[in-house]
Amino acid sequence: MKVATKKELFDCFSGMKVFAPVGKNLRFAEVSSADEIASPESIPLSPKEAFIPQDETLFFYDNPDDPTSIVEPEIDEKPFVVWGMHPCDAKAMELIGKVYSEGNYTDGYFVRRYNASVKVVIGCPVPHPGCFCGSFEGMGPFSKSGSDIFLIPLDDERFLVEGTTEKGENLITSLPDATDEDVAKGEAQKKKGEDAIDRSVPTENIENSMQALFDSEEFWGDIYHRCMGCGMCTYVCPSCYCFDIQDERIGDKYRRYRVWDSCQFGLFTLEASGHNPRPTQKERIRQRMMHKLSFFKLRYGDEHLCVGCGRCVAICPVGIDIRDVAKRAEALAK
Amino acid sequence: MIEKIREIAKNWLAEGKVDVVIGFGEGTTPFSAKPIFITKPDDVEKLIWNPLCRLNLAGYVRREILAGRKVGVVAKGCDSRSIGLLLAEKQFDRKDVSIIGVPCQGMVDRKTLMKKFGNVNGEKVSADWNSISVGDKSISTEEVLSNACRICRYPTPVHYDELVGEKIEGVSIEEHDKPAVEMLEKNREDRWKFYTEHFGRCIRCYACRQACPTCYCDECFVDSNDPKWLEKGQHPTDLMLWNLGRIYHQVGRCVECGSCESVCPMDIPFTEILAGMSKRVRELYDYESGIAVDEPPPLQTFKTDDPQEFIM
Repeated sequence: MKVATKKELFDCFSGMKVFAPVGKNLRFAEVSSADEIASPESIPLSPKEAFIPQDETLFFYDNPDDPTSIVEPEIDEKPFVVWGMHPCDAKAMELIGKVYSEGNYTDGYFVRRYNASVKVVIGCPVPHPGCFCGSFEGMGPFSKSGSDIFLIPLDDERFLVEGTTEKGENLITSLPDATDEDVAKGEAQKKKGEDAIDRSVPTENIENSMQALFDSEEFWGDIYHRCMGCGMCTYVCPSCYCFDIQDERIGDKYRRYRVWDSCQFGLFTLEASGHNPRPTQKERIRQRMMHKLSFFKLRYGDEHLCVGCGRCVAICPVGIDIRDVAKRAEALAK
Repeated sequence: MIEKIREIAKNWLAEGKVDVVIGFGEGTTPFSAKPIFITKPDDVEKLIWNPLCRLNLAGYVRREILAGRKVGVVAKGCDSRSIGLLLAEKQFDRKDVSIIGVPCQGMVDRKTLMKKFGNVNGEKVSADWNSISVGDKSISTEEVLSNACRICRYPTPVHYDELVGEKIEGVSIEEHDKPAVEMLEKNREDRWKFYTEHFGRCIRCYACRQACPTCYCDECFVDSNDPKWLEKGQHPTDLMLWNLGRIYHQVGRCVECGSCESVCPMDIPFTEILAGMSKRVRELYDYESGIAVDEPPPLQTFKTDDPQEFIM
């Protein structure tokens, strides 16, 4: 176990690109000094974009009729640092990894970034109002799963630093060892977060309870009437991974790119025939809730796609609260 | 005041005058109020009225009316103006909507509030028209008012069936125009910098459009793929085109409720831009949107004496 200030830790990553929360951008971006790094809570977006950029070039081509004219963009495979993830975010990247790398198809863009990344995860002594990661089995504000380096804030200045993978450990060898006092303080911080986190959201059998309510007007009516249909919840979500593919012309070249897409948009499921299987906000918000708390677990086995980060809860302008959805589902299913 | 609102809502629902009353209820996170749809007279107790009732409800009014329901709504000055604008654009008939007008003392900007108080978890919070407090920390409500509310010309509803509470005077034209003048006095380069910087943060979640009662097109220009007016990515040109394009479509229509600014997760300051637009429309056409229900917005009609000096 090591100990470091923000600056000292940052110096461990010299020569590497570092992505971190940037206050003025309100999102994760590349930083060149420790001073630029804001707290992850001060920005609405998650670190997802370090792994899946909102706008990502898949390839360029000169001639739409000639597949040999395709030029793939250079992808930097050098290790880079994502600083300021929380345990929920690290879990979310593992879950997206399941979708993007299991089965017959592998998303090379995501996988290369994920493998090259050094994930610096900060534990949460003071959970935020919408947070409920502790409600999911095996998760919590100090879960180290998915991290390479794990930080526990000791005070405003210093972190307890632990390398949780060999990759992470090798980067922090120059830092001083933590004193017994620091370790004890870290334990106290951990206890504080573990005690405070919301564990009241029922998640154990929620996938089945939600299935049973799929057609319930009583259940969905409470939220879909007020859902405005913006895509904010899906964009701030660390585990929403849907994208749209587009082509654009740039001078005499073409670019095929993908951008974040959202199941909350009417265009998301609009078919070429004009038919839309999810014609209203009722089907759209239901899709998001079902995907987060039911479909994913039924499809992939043991975990929900929701990681309880609380970002959508805190930001939704019309107060749609996934914790509340789960609680109501469980109550109605009984 | 809330008792009176509940009483009217209850009566309207019980008499069958309306099928649904749209208003605000308690949210589940600190400092939040959420739009609620009341259909049973006994549920009117869920209605609340406080400085967190920020959102413009007129978009819901249109949606519910088009779904065939008779709608009642708790309306601030801006909600009522939006309803007026929708009436001027013949979206529905005045008889389809019953309005409980509530003069508004100005709504709070939740994002500013969250920044002031930081992480609120577990402490007791309260918000009324005088002060907002978390635990023993307290600030005046005035301090965290939304930008749009600071320059509101019509805090008292313009259209209503019942008015609850005393009328409140809006700010003068000079006061309203202050941020607009500041914006218009910027030179071209500075204004461009302002646009580039702020629109450059846009993540295209389209919350501004969805929160706007005036943005009701079946197909938004940004969603059209044939023709494809703009790209879907994060190129600054496309971000600029999307934001300015949406704003252009608001000329003479925007009622400056500030909903777009209040919901924007990326803190894009729309108020200054929209206030400038309203100022120009008022000066050119002597028109303020959402006031006269029988007069279409100036760009939707033609008069032989329309000013033309801005056309080359």
